[in-house]
Amino acid sequence: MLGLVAFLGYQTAVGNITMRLDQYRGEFNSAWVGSMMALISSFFLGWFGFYLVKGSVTRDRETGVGQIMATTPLTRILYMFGKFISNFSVLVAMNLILAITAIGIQLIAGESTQINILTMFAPFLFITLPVMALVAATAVLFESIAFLSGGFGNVVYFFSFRNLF
Amino acid sequence: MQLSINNLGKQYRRDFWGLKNFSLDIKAGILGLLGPNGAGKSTFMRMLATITKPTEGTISWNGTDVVKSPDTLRAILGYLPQDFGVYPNLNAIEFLEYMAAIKGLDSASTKKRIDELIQVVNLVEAAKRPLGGYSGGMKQRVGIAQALLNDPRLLIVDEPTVGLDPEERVRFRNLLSDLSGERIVILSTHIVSDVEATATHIALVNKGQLLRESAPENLLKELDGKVWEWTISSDDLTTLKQKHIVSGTIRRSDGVQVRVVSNDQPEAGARSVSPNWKMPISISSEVMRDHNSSHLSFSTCRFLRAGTPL
Repeated sequence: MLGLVAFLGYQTAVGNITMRLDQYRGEFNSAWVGSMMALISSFFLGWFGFYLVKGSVTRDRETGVGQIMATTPLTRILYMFGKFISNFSVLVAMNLILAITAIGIQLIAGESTQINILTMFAPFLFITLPVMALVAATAVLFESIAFLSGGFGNVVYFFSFRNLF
Repeated sequence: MQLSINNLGKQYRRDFWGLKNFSLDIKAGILGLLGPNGAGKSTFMRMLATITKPTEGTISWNGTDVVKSPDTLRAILGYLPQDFGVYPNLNAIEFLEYMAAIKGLDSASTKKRIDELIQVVNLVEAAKRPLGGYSGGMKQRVGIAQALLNDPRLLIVDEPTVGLDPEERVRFRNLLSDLSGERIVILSTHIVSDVEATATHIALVNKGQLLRESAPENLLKELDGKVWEWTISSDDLTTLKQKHIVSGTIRRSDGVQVRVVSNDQPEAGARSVSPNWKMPISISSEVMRDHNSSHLSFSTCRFLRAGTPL
């Protein structure tokens, strides 16, 4: 997970991954860098983050911990919600690292030295977090549907995401 | 405190019942469920633990229908499944904290309770090591600790000694004995020695049916005068097994010492001996009387023999 985040951060910092509008790109100020990083992380973590967080329900089933949970007052809805929160937290933590990296990218680029935290992080808040919530929920949904919980579900998600974006 | 099971049944396929016509009243103490693999013990325990629902029959806890209101039982239940697994990256304390949260326990008292349990199951030194590096016995001890987190009135442990070495098995049995008292402990096993020392009651289960339920000493008492012992040559053992229920054998320099369950003296040299759990002739006289006509009863004798180390 950290490897993916480090890879995305590095590739963006050295300019291998960037955002252009036709042949133009924006000035590397807080708003542009924040938007760029938010879109990049939404795309990559939205696509591959699914595979990183999927598996917690299966793990409970395979380890037998799920059997014990079934004997507690924990309701099914609360259990699923807990899994969603857990998935979401992992994805948010990864995005947080990328968001902090964005500050470094702006400073390294040196086109604007004024850091505006609000405009830099707003795209993460309004674009990336909803996408991460969707991915976290989709992972739980796929795991709770028998025929989507295995390899077939992975393939379905891969092509569904690619076609959607 | 009473757990009543009435006419319980679980149907897996149209022509196969995992459990059928199972009725039992259980009070405080340790109930040992004894039966061979596939007898229906786990099926029974999974229904008691509210994991699966019975096809027919009722389970009631102090008069409340558990099938309709499972949360009544879940609040006071501790369960250790047969195939208990852990999250390998967590240590024992983290895992128990996680399970305590799942059980909805008060976080303020949880830490103290976990510290107590870590000591009870003798995991103080290993408590901060990842569970992935634990032996089978250590994992089983974590399993019993998680089952005891909520100080359950009903503790269900399914084949807890599988995979444990002899020393750990003895320690586990002692732990269960210490835990009994004002709670119901239900322990399933196919190993006679697991229950002979600890159980206050024993239920014999085979092919999804309850064959007999009684105190261990009563089961033995019913066999007084029906256990015979003598020495035969090794060559005669196969023939003897075809004619009689052989409960135990010991190799000796002059042949094989055999123990046989029989209403009448099976051979001229056979002498009557006291039944015990070490050389288990642990079948009720009622079961024994039936053994010529009832395949079920005969099977019971067989699994009791097979399940005991000689």
